[in-house]
Amino acid sequence: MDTEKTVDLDFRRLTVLGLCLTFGLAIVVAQLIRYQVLMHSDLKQVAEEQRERTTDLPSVRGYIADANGRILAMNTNRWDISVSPVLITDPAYLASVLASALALDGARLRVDLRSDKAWLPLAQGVPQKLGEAIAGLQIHGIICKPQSTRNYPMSDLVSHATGFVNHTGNGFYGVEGYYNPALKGLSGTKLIEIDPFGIPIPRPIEDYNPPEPGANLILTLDLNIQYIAETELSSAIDQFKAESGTVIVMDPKTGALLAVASLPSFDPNQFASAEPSLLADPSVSGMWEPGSIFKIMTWGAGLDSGAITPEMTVFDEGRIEVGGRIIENSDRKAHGKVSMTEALAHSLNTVAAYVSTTMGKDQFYNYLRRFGFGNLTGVDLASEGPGRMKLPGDSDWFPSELGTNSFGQGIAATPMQMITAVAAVANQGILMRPHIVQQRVIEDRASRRPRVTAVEPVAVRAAISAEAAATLTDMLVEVVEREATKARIRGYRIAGKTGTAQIPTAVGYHPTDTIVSFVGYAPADDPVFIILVKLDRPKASRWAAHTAAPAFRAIAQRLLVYRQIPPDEIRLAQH
Amino acid sequence: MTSHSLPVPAPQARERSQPHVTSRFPSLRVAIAVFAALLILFGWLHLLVAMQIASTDRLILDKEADFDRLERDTQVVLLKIGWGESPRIMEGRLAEEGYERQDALYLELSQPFAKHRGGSDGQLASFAPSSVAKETTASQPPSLLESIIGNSESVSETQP
Repeated sequence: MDTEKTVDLDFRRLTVLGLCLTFGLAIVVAQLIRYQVLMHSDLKQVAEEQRERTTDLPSVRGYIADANGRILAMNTNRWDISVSPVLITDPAYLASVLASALALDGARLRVDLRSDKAWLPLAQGVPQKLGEAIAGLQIHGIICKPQSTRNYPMSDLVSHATGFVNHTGNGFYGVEGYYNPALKGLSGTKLIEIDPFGIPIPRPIEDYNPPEPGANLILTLDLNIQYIAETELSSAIDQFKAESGTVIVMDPKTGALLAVASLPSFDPNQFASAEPSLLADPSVSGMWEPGSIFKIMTWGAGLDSGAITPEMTVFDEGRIEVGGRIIENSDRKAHGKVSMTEALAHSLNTVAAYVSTTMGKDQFYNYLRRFGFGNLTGVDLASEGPGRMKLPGDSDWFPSELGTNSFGQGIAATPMQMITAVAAVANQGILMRPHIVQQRVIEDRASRRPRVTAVEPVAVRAAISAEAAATLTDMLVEVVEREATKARIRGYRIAGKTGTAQIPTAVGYHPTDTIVSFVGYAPADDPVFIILVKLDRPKASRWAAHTAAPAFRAIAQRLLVYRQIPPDEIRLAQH
Repeated sequence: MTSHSLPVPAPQARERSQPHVTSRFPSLRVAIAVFAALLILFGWLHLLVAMQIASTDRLILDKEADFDRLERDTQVVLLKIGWGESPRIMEGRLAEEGYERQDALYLELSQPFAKHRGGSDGQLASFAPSSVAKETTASQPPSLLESIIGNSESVSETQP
């Protein structure tokens, strides 16, 4: 009986123990279900926040190079140095080291390092070698952070074409502004685990989204031609006492820009200290009334429409009335019987007005549209303006403007629009879209090899026929031979036209100041380049024939040598 | 009866149950031991792999740091090259050394400039004037184009 009792007692104890354990287990299971199932998402989020950090991986901004591969814009690293004084164990030593390296006040730094501040910035933009040397000290409490900065090795030489990048890493103006998204690339992210002390645990990266580097851009711009353009423009500004100026050099057959120079310019490395008005590129955003170089468009339209021929003669009485307004020649003279070629050479306003009125407003403005006026050229430079061309039907258009527009008054164009339109004449009447980027080079993420995308020239439309363009070119050669003689280069046929434009003010045109320009291309029969020279308010002479024309000649002469273009007789004999 | 009343000692029951317990416990012990061994093995392997991963990761981080440093150095060198290639800086240095930029100089050729048409590669081959060209030059200076055409023809006449 005792044995049975003992066995019963043991069984009861075991049962109680079993029940207790089961109950305990049930509690544990219940808690597990609570934490693992019911509170799963909340607790997971809390845990991830505690141990995981997402680090941004900045993308590398692409570089910009000229047609020969010379770097125009690139990145270098500079260092931001800061310190956590609470973590510094030997403030005196550190103060002596940093004060000499960073040229800081040693006594003040010692005081700062003994403070209980959590963070203290010491220096920004520390050069690469010095920053690395300080980082190499590996002193606990010093924070060395590399910062990518944009550098422009050519300083102010190509500044308007390149634009600049500000401290947020965004590009403005020029190529930097236009191609900002492509140059910038896409930043990536890296998810890392950290220990309770905030130190990253070296372990496989949980989630790694690598940054996509920005595209490298190879420009059509040739640094040598750019230098020629800028130095000659600078000489012309000095010589003719002009306030500012612009030179654009383009390949008329493709629309590729070979040089885009405007003075005064700025150093993109120091853009913050530059005059804000200098930052925008006048070649694409500056508008002016082009004056007589606009007659190229009027004559082109007249020839193409059949309204005029080169031999056609008109009698110039020195004045003509259009829409109730009297238009006179710039010399206030009557030239009598003149051919259309002579009228273009003498730059007669009356004959230009005759041509536009003969064509009629619809046809005339249709041609101006075809030459691209009133619209953006589509050049890949930021901040391009569309110019200003009033059209019949607009509230501010008057019938007299059919006459004044024919010789470039009452119409505003950008230098880029003007050279693009004249380039169409040089290119057998085909209007090309101007462009400055010829290649985009993107590093392929998978193969780690550069993928090159060529930018093909784009023909926008035929502005005039090839025959009309050829005829007009011959007339423009006559213009240079007869009138714009300072643009002549011995051995070469140059086609070109001068333009002396009055400057509109609030009370009419300025009595003395002018904007002079010359646009020309060479060799005339097979142009390799077209050059637009524009000088603002020259004081030495107010006429383009004495200012812009010789400036064109100086640039063209050097370009012919640089591009190894033989004189016409030799070149034509070779073909 | 008294002798019968002698109780059968409990140990007998223990003795009877002892073999029952011992027969169960060894298998449990073995199972626990195997489990523990597996746990240790798994832990050891896990630790080994984790250490391997950690060291590889550290190696990658070091290499990445080296790569970044080299890239930064390369950029500094590229920037210096960029400065060196600036035409303005180059012209400044040349001016310091006494060089001056020369304007284009076109040479007046006293003799016609001929193109060797008979040549296979079309290279400019001869400056030698023909008698025809000499006569033309003496009577009336021809244009450069006329000289070239005239001389080319005379050259071609001399070809077999």
